[in-house]
Amino acid sequence: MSADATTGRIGSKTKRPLSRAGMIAERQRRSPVWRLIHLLGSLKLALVLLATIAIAIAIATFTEAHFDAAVARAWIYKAPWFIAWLGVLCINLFAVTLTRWPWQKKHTGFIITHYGIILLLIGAVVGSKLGFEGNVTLRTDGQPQRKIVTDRSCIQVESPADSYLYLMPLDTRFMHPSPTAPKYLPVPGTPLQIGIEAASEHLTPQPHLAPASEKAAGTGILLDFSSGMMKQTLHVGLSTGEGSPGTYDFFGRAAIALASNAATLPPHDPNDKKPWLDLIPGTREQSLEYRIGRGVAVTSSGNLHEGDLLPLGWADWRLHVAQIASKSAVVTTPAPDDSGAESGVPGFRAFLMNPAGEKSTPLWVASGEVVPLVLGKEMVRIGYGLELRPIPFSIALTEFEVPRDEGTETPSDFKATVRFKNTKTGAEQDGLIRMNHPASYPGGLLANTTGFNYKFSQAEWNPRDLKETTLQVLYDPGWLLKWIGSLAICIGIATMFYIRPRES
Amino acid sequence: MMTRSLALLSLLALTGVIPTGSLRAEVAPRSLESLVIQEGGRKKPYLVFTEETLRSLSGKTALTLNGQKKDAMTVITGLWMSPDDSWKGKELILVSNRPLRQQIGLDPVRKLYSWNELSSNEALAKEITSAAGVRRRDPKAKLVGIQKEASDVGMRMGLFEELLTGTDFKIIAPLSGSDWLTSAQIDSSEGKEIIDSVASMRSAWMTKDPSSFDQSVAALLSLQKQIGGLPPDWKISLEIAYQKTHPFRWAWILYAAAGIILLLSRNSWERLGYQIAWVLAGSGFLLQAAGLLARVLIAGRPPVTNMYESVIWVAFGTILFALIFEAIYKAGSFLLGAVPVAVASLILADSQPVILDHSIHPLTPVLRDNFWLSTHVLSITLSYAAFALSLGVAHVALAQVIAGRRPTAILYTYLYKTLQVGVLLLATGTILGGVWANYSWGRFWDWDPKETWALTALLGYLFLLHGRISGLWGGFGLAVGSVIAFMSVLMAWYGVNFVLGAGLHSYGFGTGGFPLVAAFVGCEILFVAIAFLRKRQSTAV
Repeated sequence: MSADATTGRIGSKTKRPLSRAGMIAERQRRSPVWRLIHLLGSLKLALVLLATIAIAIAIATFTEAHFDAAVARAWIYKAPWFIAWLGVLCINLFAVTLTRWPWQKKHTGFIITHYGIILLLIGAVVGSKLGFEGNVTLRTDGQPQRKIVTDRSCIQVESPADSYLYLMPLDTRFMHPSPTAPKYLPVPGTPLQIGIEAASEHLTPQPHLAPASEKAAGTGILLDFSSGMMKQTLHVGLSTGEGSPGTYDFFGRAAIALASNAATLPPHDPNDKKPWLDLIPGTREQSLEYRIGRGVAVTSSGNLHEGDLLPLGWADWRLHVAQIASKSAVVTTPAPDDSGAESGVPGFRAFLMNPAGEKSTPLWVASGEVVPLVLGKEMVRIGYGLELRPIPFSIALTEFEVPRDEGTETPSDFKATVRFKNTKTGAEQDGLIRMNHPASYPGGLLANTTGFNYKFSQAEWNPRDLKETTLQVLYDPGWLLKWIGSLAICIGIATMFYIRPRES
Repeated sequence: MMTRSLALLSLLALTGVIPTGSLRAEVAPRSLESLVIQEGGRKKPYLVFTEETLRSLSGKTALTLNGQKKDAMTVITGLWMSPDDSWKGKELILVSNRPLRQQIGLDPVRKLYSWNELSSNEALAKEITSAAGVRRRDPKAKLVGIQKEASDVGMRMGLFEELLTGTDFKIIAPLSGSDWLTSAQIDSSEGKEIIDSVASMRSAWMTKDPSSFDQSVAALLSLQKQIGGLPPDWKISLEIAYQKTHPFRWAWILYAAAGIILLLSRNSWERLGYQIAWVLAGSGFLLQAAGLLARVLIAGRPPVTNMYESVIWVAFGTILFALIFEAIYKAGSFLLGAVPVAVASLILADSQPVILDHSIHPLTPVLRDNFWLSTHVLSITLSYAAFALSLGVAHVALAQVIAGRRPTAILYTYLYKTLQVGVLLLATGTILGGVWANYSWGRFWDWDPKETWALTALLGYLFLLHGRISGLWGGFGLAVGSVIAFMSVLMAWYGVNFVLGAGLHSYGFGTGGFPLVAAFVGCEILFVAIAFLRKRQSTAV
């Protein structure tokens, strides 16, 4: 980036005093250090940097639109190569200011702008290393919160060696493990390893049939309901045993029930026109008797066996009998959702492995759950989810208001009144958070300008529950650097373009 | 107050000039235009309500019904005054998307359909249900393609039903609360006069008795005044005047005239031509300023809150910068470059009401901050304007190359100066956006697509300027680069909102216009290619 590039004087190279140009050429000839500085500060490098960064981030926006913001982030914005490239940009920006040494008045704007960009980038690094972003969901009738949910996923491992919880960053979105190529993580303090052999973004609780003790055991059935029109499949598990579900509410539109005999089935209300499906175990092993009806009228009935398909007459919904098992209970464990609804939470399937290469039964670990992996006598509890960060104070929501545009239900603002409480001193302080007007803790001029401050901005609300709001939390010690850098860039460009000192 | 009166006066001066459409055979509901109605989160004149409503319903502000052309006031008032089932058979509802029409078995050419035709169309009902299903599963889901179009048609059908049942005609301020009432919602013991005046309007409408209709309207207007809760009179008059005058239409006509005069006088009468062009462009500019001022006063915020406003504003900024540069350099090329950009933008804004919504709506909460709107958004959009001007000046230079002439060095210097304005404003605007985001969203920079594309455009222009200074390319390269780099502005401005449709700037999202923008980009690439070939030919010779 040449000084002239930014003063906007085209072709002023020839106007430069020869002695200065000669001196600059001379020092490059004599000193390898100066040669390196001129190389690092070269305009060609600047052009390459500008072009590659522009192209990379442009591609990232398409990635975001077609996949996910997180993918764009992992591949480009937060990728090591991109950060390194920005580092090279900083070196280039710094080196180019050195190539103009000794500086003249005409370089003022040029220097301010280039250093402004460096400051801004340093501010960004400081912010991301020392600060954090997260969110907190508060309820007016809820407890004060002392932890912030960050956007960083991690695995939590309870080591059997010291019973201590170890946090390790882990994001299932960027893992592509398979049973043949699992990803391994060490269990700290032990020779054990955790193997991750599958990942999913859509884990939902899925019913299974499992052998059960005397009391809980009954006839268990697994049913799949599918609709081509709704592009949806639903897995339902029912059992006549104690503690297992015997009925299922089908979207509030129909009722499904299983009982050991017709007498124990729930009665039907003649005024309720909702359709129903009643099932009882058949006289033969692994068979079912079914009745479909509406009100008290039975529309169809018959027998079902494992693997049978039955159109229900409820839109295009069909029933598939996946499994019938006696002496079993229904248990729910997380599994990838194949219903087509793309609902559920992220997670992975993991096993425990000892140095001899023996593996435990793999289990699905859904976000927000703790799962024990057992191998012989060893047990390791692992959990998965977003990292929680403690804050040195508590925050509680005392009031939440959503004013509306006149005559409509459209929100015109969000007003959250919060109470901060210092956990050490117990001192309390109220804050009002409105759109565009965050509340800060500890607040005050110094904290606000330096960024050593927790800032709470309105982020999300729940239209169905006005006692709840989600706030974005920012702690950014890089703020002052970003501010000064930003200001320098604007002032620098304006100086370069529009303030011309007289040439000495 | 002074500014208000000026804006009102300049708009009123035009009102008399424009034919407002004549009505025959039926009662002309003109007297109703200043009735205040609450709709879409604000109170507005009835005239504005009818035009906005018919535009939402039919995509137009006038329709031909039973062989007669009828304006929005007549159609909407008809629905209000005589809401009988015959309306269900009238072709009022817009189905603008051709693939949707084909999918649901409608005439591929006809765009307007009756409620009866649409409500009996099972394929349409299925599409609307499936769109509703997507929304039910995820209220934030973005509808695309046929689903989006079907959902739009569903909303228009809903609007039609609301009009027919009268629930949209909220004309009475309530005793408490902020939700206005329709005449049907009023307690007959308290609002007998209102109910009576609406009833007598209805009977006058049915019997086609203009004088008693006007009398009943006058009674209703004075009742509205007595009840109170209305916006100030000047605001209602200003909005009516703004709605009737179409100041931006007159502005582009004046700009176009200035451009034509400038072109025609290039060889003879150059000085006189330049002066006339100045006067014409200056008048267009003042008129556009008055129109924008009117919008500011009506909405109470800077006029850059949706795609329609930003297109108008960029046209305004382009002319503004051109006039400033003309005042300094008296070159002619700035104006010549700015005119096509401004005229094209204003025609686009005027002719695509379905894509670019003219209506003034209350803002989404995050935008309700006039400080940040007028600093961040105005500087960003003004940078677009400066780059649009550089696009125009680059076209002047490249057109000369294509014509076999050699553009002067000074023309390239002018181009450079327009680029400088754009770079300063875009850098400032992007940084201001970061500072605003720090307050509203709780972070300075997070690679939101809008942020990222603003940065991409900035980096592109920096690349262009640095390459020019290093001597990697000359004036011709700068001109070519100005055209190509403007595509990144289009992406940041239009593409992120209408093509990518991702990120936090979602309040500006819309659909449509893609073929138009793609055609523009194609033409620009072709233009640059031709300039390249001609340049090569001329250097070879």
